[in-house]
Amino acid sequence: MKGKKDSARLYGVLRTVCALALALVCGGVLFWISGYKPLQVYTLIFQGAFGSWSAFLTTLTYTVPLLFSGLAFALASRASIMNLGGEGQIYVGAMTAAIVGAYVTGLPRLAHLPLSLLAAFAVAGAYGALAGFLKVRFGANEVIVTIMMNYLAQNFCSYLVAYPLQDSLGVPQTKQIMDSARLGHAFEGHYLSTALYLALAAIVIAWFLMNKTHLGYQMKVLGCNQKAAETAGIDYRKITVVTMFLSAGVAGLCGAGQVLGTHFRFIEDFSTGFGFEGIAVAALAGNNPLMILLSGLLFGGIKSGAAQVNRVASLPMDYVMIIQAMVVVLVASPRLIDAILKPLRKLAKAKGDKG
Amino acid sequence: MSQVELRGITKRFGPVTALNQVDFTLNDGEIHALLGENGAGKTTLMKVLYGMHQPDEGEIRIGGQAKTFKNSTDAIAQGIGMVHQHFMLVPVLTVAENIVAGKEPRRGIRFDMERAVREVQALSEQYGFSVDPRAKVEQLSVGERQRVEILKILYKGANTLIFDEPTAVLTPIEVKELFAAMRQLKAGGKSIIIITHKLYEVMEIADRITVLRDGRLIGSVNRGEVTMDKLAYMMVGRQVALNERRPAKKIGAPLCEVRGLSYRKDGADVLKNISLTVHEGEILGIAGIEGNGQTELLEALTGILQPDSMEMTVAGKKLSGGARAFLDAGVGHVPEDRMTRGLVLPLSISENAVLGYEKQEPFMKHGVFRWKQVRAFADRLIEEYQIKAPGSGAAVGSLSGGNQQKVVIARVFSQTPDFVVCAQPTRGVDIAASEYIHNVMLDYRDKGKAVLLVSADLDEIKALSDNIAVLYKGEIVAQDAAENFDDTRLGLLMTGAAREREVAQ
Repeated sequence: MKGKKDSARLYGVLRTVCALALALVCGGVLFWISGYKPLQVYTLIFQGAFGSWSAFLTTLTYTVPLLFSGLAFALASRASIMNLGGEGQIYVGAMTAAIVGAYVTGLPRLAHLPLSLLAAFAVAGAYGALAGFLKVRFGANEVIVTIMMNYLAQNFCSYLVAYPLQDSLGVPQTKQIMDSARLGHAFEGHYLSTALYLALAAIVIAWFLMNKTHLGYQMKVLGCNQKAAETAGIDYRKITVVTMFLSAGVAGLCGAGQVLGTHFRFIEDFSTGFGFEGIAVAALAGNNPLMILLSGLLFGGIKSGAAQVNRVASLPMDYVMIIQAMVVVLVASPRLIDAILKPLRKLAKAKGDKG
Repeated sequence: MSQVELRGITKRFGPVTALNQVDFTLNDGEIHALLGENGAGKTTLMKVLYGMHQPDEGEIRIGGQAKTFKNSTDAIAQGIGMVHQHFMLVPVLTVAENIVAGKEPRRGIRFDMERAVREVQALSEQYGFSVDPRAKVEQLSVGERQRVEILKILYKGANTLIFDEPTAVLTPIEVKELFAAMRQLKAGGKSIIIITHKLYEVMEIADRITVLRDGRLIGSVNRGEVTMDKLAYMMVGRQVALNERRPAKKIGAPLCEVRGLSYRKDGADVLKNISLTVHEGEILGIAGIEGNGQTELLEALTGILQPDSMEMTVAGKKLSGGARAFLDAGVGHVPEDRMTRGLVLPLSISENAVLGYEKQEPFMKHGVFRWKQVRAFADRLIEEYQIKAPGSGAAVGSLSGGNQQKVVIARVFSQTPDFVVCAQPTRGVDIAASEYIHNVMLDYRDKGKAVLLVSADLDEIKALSDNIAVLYKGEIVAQDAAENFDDTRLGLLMTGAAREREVAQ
């Protein structure tokens, strides 16, 4: 009987791999139609992403924000909450980190950096918790609310860097943060920041939270069956708000990591859609924190590799977006993959019956 | 003439043989009950007849001629129709529109609404169904919707009607109406097959009975030749104690007291000044037709619902707060619907086995789950409560209804709460599991605990309860020792025809 369960899990993995492969094939067709040689492009992308140690570190800089944003989405999904507000929460976290990092002075690094991170987590978390509160208090649909709150956050941040917090005239960015608030380099001789370690820690903590703690259990029960949760004495309102707080807080760390580790200031529209890419990362990982590491690396690799190819072969970055979107669509259509795999399964079954 | 015969039907699903050489004969104009425990193969056999499954071996003969059904359309063409357990109606359309759908009368290329209404009206009157063809389906009661389903099948020209567990969704009164309708159909020359596992229904309605067990034919008998005990023996394969009473040996001091429970919703009284006392070693049964406030009563007594007023004590402690507080204070809860309130179907048996109690040691220590302990606990429950499951890691949703219910029962009773609110403990559960669950409840009572039983199954109430209170329109209209009630007295009280103002204490 244990074998049965394992084979079900194996099939799940197979399905994901199949979706991924299919997305790459579709992308390949697209390359081909556009006059590129698909195999060559993929080889170049792979080499660009993982071909050398420094290429790998560059890939990691693309990966880190995706780890945070993927984790943020996965956390909320655990309780069946669709947090589509990652993008906005990233901006809130980034702005908070930029303000605390630039305007709080006289602190040692040991205090200033954690304070900046914590503030980003807390303020972005509160911003997300607001959506959770609207949901439990007034029955607001969190999908709509979080999407709309993206515009709110992004445009308010744009206003801040255009007027009150503008550094030098005409450039929409805040002034540089203090040295004491900066994340260091993860490795000698490469600009990859220690936000990487933060992301890894966040993944481990999230895994522990989801699988080992009471809160994680309550999120899971609530996510599967709200009435059963209610019957078992689980406070639906509290868990929803707390989940949104944590999810948004992690998204806030994504923004903070970019500000404190890469840009050292808030720059208008710095996020290239990390919040939305996180959905793809989480979907591919099946909302499993540990798998987010892999799927984040994959998406980061595609981006980094494509950027490399873009430099040598003028391949537009938009193709990467298309491949990403394709992965999400295919992973989100398990039945489609089932239909494709069905003849294969029959074959395997026939073999298995004989054996 | 249109006699339906199934000969030597075998149906396999992968390695599982669901039906093994089953014969079944339906004579013209009879009501034939297909009886068996859950998983005995009743529905599978009927799906073979209805063309939804193709048999691996055996043949279907109608009026003496062999037929093959590739799908249900073929079966319908041969006059076979099926009333599914879950209705397939479009709520926003009218009765007439639902019934004629797929075979609409037309005028030119347009839908002829007037003719549809006339035809449905005529059909409905022919069988004495009072259904308004112009009513929207969404406004109908469950019983009425079922009649629409029946009319839909008749409209397509069915001579043989298959009912899949038709009473599962009905109130006792609607069951009576359904049976009356079935007799009408029989009088009109139709043949009927009713799939069920409820013995008293069989004894009331069926002419012949075919019993299946584990996919095999056990036998076909005429109703006049059997007793309920004999049928139960055929179904389960051993002697079963059917609703045998086991009165309390000793009823002790009051353990749970409820005073002045009132609840109003949308300006109407749902619960009116209810007072109940459940003693140590007592099962108090709440009899009543569903929808008379049972759900709200259950939710108030378990802290899920905050009533307008209530004073409740358990073992001398006053209760207040939400579901968490009530659980902690020793109120166990077997919810009326295990699918929605009782279990989290996608999660494992282990995760469900501690639901509501997960924070206790040894399941959790210093805020961290100890899954090994939880699994060990779940394994113990599986053994102790004879839950048929591949293991504690299996999803609860993959178990049969009876075993799902056993998980709920095991979870609640293993925590030894002082007072258990037990709602519909055996709904949709087969005989063997029902018997087991009843014994758990009775044993628990004999340990000196208090149990409140709410059930739509009157036989269950009568068999288990030491005292019975009758709930009608949110009020307790009578309370007395169980042996002082007979069916007539209960019937009158439950329908509001009589009222005894002997409010408890």
